[in-house]
Amino acid sequence: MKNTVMIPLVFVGNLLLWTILLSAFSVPTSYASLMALSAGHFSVFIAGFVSSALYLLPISCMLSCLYLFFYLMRHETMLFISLPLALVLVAASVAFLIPFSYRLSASSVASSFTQADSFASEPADGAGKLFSPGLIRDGDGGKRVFWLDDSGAGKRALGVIVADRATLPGSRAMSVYTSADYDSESRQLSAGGVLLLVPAGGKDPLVASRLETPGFLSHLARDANFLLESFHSAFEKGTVRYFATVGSFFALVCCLFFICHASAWRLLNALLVFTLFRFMLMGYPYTTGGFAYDEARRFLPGSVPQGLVSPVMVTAVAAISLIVCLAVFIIRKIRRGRVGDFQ
Amino acid sequence: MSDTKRVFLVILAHYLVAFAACIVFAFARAAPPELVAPYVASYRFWRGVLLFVNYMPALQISGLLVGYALAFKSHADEQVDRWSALLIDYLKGAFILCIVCLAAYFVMAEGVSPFLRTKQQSAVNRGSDYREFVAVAKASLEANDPNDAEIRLQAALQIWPKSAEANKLLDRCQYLRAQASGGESPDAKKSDVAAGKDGGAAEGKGSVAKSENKQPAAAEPLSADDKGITALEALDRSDAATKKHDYFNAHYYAMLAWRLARDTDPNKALALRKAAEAWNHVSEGTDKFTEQGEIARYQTKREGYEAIQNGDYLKAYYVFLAEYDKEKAAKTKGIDPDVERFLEVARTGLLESFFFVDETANIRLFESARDVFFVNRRSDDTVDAVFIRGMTFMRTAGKDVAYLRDVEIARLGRDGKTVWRIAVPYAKMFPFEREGQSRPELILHAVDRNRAGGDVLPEVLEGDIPAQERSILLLDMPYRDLDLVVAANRGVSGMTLLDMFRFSKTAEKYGFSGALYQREIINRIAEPFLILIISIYALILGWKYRLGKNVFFRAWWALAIPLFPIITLFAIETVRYLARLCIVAFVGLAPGNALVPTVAFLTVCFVLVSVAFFAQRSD
Repeated sequence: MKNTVMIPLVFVGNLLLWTILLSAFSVPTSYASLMALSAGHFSVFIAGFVSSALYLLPISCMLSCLYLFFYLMRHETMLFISLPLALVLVAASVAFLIPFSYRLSASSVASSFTQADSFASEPADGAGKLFSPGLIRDGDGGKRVFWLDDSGAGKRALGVIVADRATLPGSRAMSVYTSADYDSESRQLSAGGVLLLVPAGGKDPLVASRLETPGFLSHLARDANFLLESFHSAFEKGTVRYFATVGSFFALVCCLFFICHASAWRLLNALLVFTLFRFMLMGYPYTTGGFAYDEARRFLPGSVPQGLVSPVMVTAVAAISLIVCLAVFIIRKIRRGRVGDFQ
Repeated sequence: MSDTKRVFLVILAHYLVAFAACIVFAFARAAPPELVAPYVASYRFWRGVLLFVNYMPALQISGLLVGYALAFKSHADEQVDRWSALLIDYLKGAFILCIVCLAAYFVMAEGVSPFLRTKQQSAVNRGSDYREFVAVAKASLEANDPNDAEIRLQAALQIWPKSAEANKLLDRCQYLRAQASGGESPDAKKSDVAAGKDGGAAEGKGSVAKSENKQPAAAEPLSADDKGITALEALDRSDAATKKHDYFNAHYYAMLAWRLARDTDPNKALALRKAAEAWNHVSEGTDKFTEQGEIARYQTKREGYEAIQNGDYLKAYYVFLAEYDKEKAAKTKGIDPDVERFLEVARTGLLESFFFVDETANIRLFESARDVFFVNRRSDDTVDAVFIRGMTFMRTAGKDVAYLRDVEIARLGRDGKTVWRIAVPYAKMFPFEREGQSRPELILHAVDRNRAGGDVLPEVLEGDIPAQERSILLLDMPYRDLDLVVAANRGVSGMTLLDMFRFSKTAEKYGFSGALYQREIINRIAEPFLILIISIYALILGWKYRLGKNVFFRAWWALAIPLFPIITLFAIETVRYLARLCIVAFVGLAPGNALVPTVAFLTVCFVLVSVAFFAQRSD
């Protein structure tokens, strides 16, 4: 009974935790925000934190939902209460919490952070200043460029040395220029028509190169962004479109509850849940365009609006998953009762 | 068997399977096109090892996760309370495993990996060299210069002895040479080239030592005798020489005694007097000779000797070398011991300011660094920019020596204008000791060992360089920093933690970012903490998601086991990425002082996660 009562707390606790974690770490992933934070502009961090928290709330809800399923997997609960309770929490998130976050992000509360936010985006939007002098910079084709100083508010580099490692042995590798001009639009440093370094300004590669997002994370962020943009776009297009789009995807996420009981090894179940959730994010864009979308469009009656094709496809996948999982789940429950090897 | 040992076996199984997979993967991937056949297999093996080292933390954590999830099965149905002794025992075992695995990882990451990366780079360089030697040899053959082609091919064959292409070209060279010399057998010619004037060139590093040994054998002990001599000993030798009427040596040792004696030493005046007496004998020397040849030889010796006394060792060397060669060619008498001795004295003196061109023949085969570029901020506010195409470090007679290929140096004034700019094909570098500090001394002037006039001097590309600096250039930096600059040119990943600690304070002086090294140092120090924290968190997950007591491991679960290291790798990479972001922010907020708060924060995280583990209980 106690475990069953804990369900709302577990969900809300996880929601808070994921909202804080995702927002706190998403802010410094932007170069401009990170530089602003490094310079001690904490208002930029707070502004970014709030806007990220609102933007990423649907993902936080999904992760909380998954962790709630893990909780149900690990603890003995009254299934006929705990499962509906979990579904009510998820439905409440879809019906109230996420629309509320969208309204809030469009309201004056969020716009009060715009000023600080614009500070963060300014250096990234502008072409950027010439890199600081006195450091060797790597250029294309094995070039290494150094300039002693700059002048003219970063428009000109003084004492420029270029070492071109790609030159043939025996030929001159080093060129020296008394000065070179920097074009802030193209970010090119050139002397007498000779291009020396590009980019020579903007994001400092000595910092940015260390901050490159690992490939799998950038793919994950791309897919998550696609999903969030779809949700937001559906919200702006009306209630029916919103509930169809967001509700269908959350229904699919809820099917993962059954994966938590796919085997007797909880760790393996948890691993499978995360793997399948990743596949869901990866597969979602294919329901909005491409071969699968075209086939579904041809199969569905013409009366179905174009914007509802994706929700119909996701709902169909969720329904099939639900039937298959339910069948397997019931069979396993029966076997568990008979054999008794399931805890 | 204890649970800790069982988990260790699971980790070991992870390591072994992953190592095999890494090696297979490395061999399946294409090798860089620059590589030549003898290096391909080893390059791929090193790549496999490097890949494995990269995955070691993920394998360790995956092993812990799977191992402990299975090990905790035995306590699945037990009632375990918070802070139980059972969990503390498990935590101890896990700590030991983590420390062992981390130690292995750091030995591999900090010791083996940089070494293997250097070996890989060296293999790529040697491949490029081989191709270049063969290409130049082909061009020489087309230009009908089989001698030059043969030298290049010998060098190429040192890299790849069984190269069919190089051997075929070599045969063609020998055939052409034999044709040119009227049918002499190719084998005879081959041995001629190998042992002749180009022998050193074909033997690379060995050529330096061999070239040095070309000097008269008797000269070496004399040179060794003079080392560490005192003023009194020099005076004794001067007296002994006077008794033998050997006035050149009498003067030489008297002058040596004069130079060695302190100003307060009464022997200083005595030495000068003895030198004057000996010189008087030298001056009147020609009167004693009646034969024209004797007179000419005496005058030559005197000319060479005067050059030594004036510090013009280059002139003295060629004077005595010409006399030495003349006497050797005459074969009537033996070689004058004075000539042999002063040839060696001149050679020793010469090598303090010059080096022989042939010392650098094929030295590039032994280069350990390529394309080194750095700037050096001098104490007079000017800046030297240095580019070195290749560097060969060696130790001869207990002294560090480096040969630098294709050196370009530019000195810039404070206003960014070029003061001077030079380029030289080869330079020789020594550590130059002064006031307890050693600095890199670049000898830029190379001379021919056998004849005067074959000098190789730096080409002045711009500005006016002082004559002294055109021959010997002293870089305004500690010699020990040069190793760090070379390592920095290879990239941060190739530097050890110790190197980065040493370099981070002076990096800006050489045009490298100090903040970059600070961040990397913190990253490297944070790495074991992060792995330890994730390992203990894996332990928590292992406990939470443990196997039921009566549940047996199903065969199909084994199929899912490879997912664990993959997911763990993603988790580690994510944590590393987030840690990098935080470290950049910390270094930005507190430049130079970010290490302590970062380590303190990580320690707190580690303690918290450990407490969280044994604060668990049965579900």
